Amino acid sequence: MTLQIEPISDDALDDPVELARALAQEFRPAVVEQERLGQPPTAELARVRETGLVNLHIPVEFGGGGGNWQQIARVILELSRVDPNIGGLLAYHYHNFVAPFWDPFGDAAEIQRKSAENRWLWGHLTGPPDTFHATPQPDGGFLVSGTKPQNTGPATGDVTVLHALRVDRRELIYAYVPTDREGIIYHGGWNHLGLRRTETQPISFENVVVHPHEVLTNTTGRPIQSMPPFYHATGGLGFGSIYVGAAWGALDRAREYLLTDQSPRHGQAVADDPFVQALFGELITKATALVAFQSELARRLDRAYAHRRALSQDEHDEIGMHGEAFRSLAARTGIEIGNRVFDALGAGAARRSVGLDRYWRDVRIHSLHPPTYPQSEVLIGKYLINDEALRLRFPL
Amino acid sequence: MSVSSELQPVTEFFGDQDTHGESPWLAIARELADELAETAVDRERHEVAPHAQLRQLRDTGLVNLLFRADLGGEGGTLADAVRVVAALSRGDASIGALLAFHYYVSFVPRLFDFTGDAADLQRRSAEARWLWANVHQPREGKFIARPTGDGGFVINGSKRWATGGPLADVTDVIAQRTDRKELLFAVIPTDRAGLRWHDDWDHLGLRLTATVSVDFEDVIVAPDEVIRSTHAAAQNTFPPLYTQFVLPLYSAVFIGSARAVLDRGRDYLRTRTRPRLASGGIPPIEDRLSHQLLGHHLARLEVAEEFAYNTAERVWDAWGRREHLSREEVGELAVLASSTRRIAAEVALEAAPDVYELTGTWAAINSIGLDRHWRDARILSLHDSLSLSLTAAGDFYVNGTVPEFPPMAV
Repeated sequence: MTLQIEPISDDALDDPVELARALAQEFRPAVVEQERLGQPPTAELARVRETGLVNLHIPVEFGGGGGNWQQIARVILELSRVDPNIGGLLAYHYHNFVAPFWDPFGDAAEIQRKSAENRWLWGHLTGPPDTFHATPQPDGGFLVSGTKPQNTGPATGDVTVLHALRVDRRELIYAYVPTDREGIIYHGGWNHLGLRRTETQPISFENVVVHPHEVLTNTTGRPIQSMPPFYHATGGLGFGSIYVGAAWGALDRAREYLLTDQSPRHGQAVADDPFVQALFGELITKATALVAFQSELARRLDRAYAHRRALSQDEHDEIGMHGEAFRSLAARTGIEIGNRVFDALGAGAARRSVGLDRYWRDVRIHSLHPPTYPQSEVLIGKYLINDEALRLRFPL
Repeated sequence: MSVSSELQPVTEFFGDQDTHGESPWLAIARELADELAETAVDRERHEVAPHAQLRQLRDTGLVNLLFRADLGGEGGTLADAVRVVAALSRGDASIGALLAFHYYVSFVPRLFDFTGDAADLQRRSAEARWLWANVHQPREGKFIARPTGDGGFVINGSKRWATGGPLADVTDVIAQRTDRKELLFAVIPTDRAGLRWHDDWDHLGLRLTATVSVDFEDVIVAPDEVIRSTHAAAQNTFPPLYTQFVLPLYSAVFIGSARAVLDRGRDYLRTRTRPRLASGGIPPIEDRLSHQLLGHHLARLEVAEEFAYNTAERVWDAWGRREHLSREEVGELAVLASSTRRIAAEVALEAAPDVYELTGTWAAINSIGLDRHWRDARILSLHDSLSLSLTAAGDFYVNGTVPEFPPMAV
């Protein structure tokens, strides 16, 4: 398992997973120090744009990379394996490209083209329905105001999606705006357990202008009173992929430490200890199973999305709960692996310069958004025994 | 739990009401822990050396707990010390760990001077209210003691991690004598010439314990600083009962950390009014899922606590009969102590990540700092290898192999 840094050509999207792997190796040397300082990954995200990885999710016909969810999920995993901050920001980016979700019959062609052409990185400002309020304007646009406490992506991205409750009816608008639009106020102050580079922070809108062409088209046939179709599934897949990547990252780092830095115990190489071998064996088995789960979910999501114009509510429920299940198991296992890899190693592995604790911290904080196990397991159990799927509807 | 006609609040059911008789030291420790908890996050974050807090351990006499009453100590037992360390660690595991290390390090002279109980040293330490550090794992570096001819020695060596050295008054040191296959054991002031404590502790947890690397450069040990072994055989390894004293005290740090985590989950439920997402609008204090999660970890913690107290009592009982103990009994106690530590560590390491599920992102804000308890437990758990502990327990069970330290002096 050698770690080599290969030079990467621009627009190297032939194999996006290989590209992500190569980028991750490029990012690796700086990550522990940057994480400690809480530096935003500006240079790394520039590389994501330069290499075209940023456009992976956009169909080729609109100028994108034409990647499917299987590739997207694996890209998030490979980046998170070195830095869950970067994998996380990409997960938000792909998952929050919701314009096509709201427009199954038009595929939000215009926005897709613009996004691909400008290599936009997306953030989001979506959550509880009454966070932002939208006042209609005569031109068909809106003025939006409000404050949302924790937001990931707008501070590091080019554009952000948002939703806002219309002041004239019990219905929301979805829209997107450039992140430097006048009236957007970034409050900063992210000082949390993990994902220290994501610039997650409170954001306020003070009469922010949303132009008519920035309002997302809704061709689902229903008013906007929920998160968009597929959002539950893409969120589960994207977030779970961060955790699986972090779990692999923790195993990678622990293995590297074991083989290069771990001093013998009582004269015996620790790598020859059956306890250590079994621990790595157990944990890598779990991590591998999660990759299989990820692939299966992504494959189902690709298939469901291909049928997006005719998908039943039951099928939406099924793919959403599948995403919930993946995220939940990935969180539980990511936390377990991030914690238990230490059992194989000596106290030297807990030096902050080794950075092995990053993975636990990153999974633990992100999986609180919203909490995963056992709360998500309750939801899955309800689906199984009470036939009650979680639907991301707003209480309007 | 005492039987009473009045119902205790359910949340006070375990642990808070101690059934083993409230010792005065425990009351002091609890009071200190409450103070420590208030400042722990800030002190850790700004890396404030805990001089003031350690001063309180001296002023209150807690440092003298294990010394004999007839020698000026408090005459407490190992179980008393375990309770005190657990109580303190509930407020700040760095301070709890420093006291835990102090208790067993200041006991090592008594383990060497098996029959004389290092009486003079106990008297002096109690009177001056010393806090002890240790430099006694010469496996790490090579510690060499060269006799000076007058009964004293000159020591050279280095050690990668020595807990509390820069904070303590005295330190013990174990070194290999150059003149015979035997260990030198001595106790010297931490500011002795030639002793260099480096400021290089930058690890995951227990960040205020000053677990630093240390060099000995021609450090002089005076004849009256040498502690004579009174064991029949020449001492070339740790004396008997060493791990048996150490591991219940480590267990106490884990127990305190675990209890702190559960406390904070409980406090969160009691003080929040907004229902948890997807809980159906039920107030946090009535949320069954939260009750179940805390209940699960509370039961495990209660087992770990009782196990640690019980082990400490058995070790103390063995210490009282030290001149009549069989090698097998000492080995059995080593396995017991090691199992105690393992169970306690597991409880702390598993409870901490789970409690976040109740508190959500709130507890992940660094100014709240719930992760401190996990980090503290995680680093302490790496002090001694889980693998070796499991092997020793299994080998003893299968083959009757008595676990022993490998010789340090060869």
